[in-house]
Amino acid sequence: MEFWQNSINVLVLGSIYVLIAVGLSMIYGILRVLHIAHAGIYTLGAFLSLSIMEVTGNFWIALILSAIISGFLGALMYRYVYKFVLKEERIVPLIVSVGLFITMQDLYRIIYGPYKYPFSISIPIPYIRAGNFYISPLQMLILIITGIILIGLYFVLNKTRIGVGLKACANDSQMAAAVGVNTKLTIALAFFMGSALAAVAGTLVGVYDNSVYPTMGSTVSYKAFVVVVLGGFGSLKGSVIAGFLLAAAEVFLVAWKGFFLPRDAIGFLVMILFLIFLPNGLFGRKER
Amino acid sequence: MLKVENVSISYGKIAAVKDVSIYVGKNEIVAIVGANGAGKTTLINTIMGFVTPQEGKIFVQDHEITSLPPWKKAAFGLAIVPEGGRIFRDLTVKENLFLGAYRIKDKSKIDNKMNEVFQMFPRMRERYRQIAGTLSGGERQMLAIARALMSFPQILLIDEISMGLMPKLVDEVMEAIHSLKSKDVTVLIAEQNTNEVLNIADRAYVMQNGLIVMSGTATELKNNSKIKESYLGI
Repeated sequence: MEFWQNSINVLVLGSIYVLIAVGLSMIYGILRVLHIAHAGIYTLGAFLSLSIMEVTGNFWIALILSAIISGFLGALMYRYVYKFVLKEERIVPLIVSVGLFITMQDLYRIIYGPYKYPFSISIPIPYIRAGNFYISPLQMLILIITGIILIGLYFVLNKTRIGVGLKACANDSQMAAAVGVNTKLTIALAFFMGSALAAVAGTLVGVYDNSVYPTMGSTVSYKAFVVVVLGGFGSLKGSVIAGFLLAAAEVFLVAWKGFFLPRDAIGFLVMILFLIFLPNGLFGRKER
Repeated sequence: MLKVENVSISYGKIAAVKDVSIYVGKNEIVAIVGANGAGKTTLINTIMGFVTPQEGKIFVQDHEITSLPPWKKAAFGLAIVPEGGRIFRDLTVKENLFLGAYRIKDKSKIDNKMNEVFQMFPRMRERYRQIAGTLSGGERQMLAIARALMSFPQILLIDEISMGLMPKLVDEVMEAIHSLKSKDVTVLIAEQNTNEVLNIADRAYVMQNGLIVMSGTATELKNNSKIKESYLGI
């Protein structure tokens, strides 16, 4: 029974990791920029949802609007920040990204103060219980939303012109432009989609933990990085699998009584091992 | 059809192309020959929009396209087979071909073109579902040409297609390019393999250190003593 209960926890935690990491991986795949500020968007998403929820009283409107606004902000970040430093050495966009993330976090602190805001919603999903095994409505909500998003993403990437254009850009953006793909728009779109996903993840975590606060993105920014390293940089399939694998490692190792490290240490331990022995991750290919 | 007027390009202080003017007429095959580093690739990349020239103008059928981004140039009927092919390695042959036809909306047009391309390169039909990165060198070059043809190009830019190919394949590929003449495609081809390319070209320009130093019909150039000595090795 404990195993099944833990499996549900893995799916829920993994869903969150996947939602964050897929966007990060998508952006890395196209621009080769490690977009640390992605975690800033995640926090923004949570705050936006909370604020919109307070005004409208409707969680779904809050979730969708927050995703759209965050998506636009992500695209603007590309257009007005990254675009100017992409031709510099790779360390430059990375530093810019860290700077953006810190600025965003401090902005949230100035606007909202260093407090934890409760974010509770009531959703019409029944509590599923069978003996000791249960799925809470919030867990169900996370699983359903992640499921819908992943299916939608798979469809967009594999069955639409936009998706093919994105894949071509990730392979060779100059050549993609030569066959007629508007690469500027496509890259902006990747930022839009990735940022919208991060905002959804931030909102779901805010609701699940019933708290939204300015530094909630701190651990997340590193965790997402771990997932992307495990999956292989730029591989979306890798990020999805690695997100669930990391969640499984965390949940089952912590449940095992003999394990003495804190939960967040597991990911980093695994990442260090991967960087030493399998630096291209599970599905990554060698950088040219 | 394609006109390049007084184009100069430099990377920092190094001038790669100096005041170059060339002209390619409709359905012509025009070659740019010259040694490695003469500026051929830079010129081709500039016409496609990968590089923006500091000076000069580029026209396609009297429309100025000098500093347009590549995807807008593609809309003017330009397509490129770049040095090394630069196929989308992580995608399948099928996806590569469909990307070639990215701008084409009419499904039946795409299917017809696909059949035409398969007739030219039957190997592509056999490899249809394979990941492009797993193809052999020759197959990659074929895919690069096939991808470019999928866009219904009016002007095809080809860069160093013979590089790394075995002689038998070079003949095959050159033959394929020659056959484009009957299909209403205008070709500008940059090539180090002067002997081979002069066999299929109508005219040619000779580039040296970023300058056009000589031009003429392919026959004239083949019989020119200087060319014979420096490029044909006769």
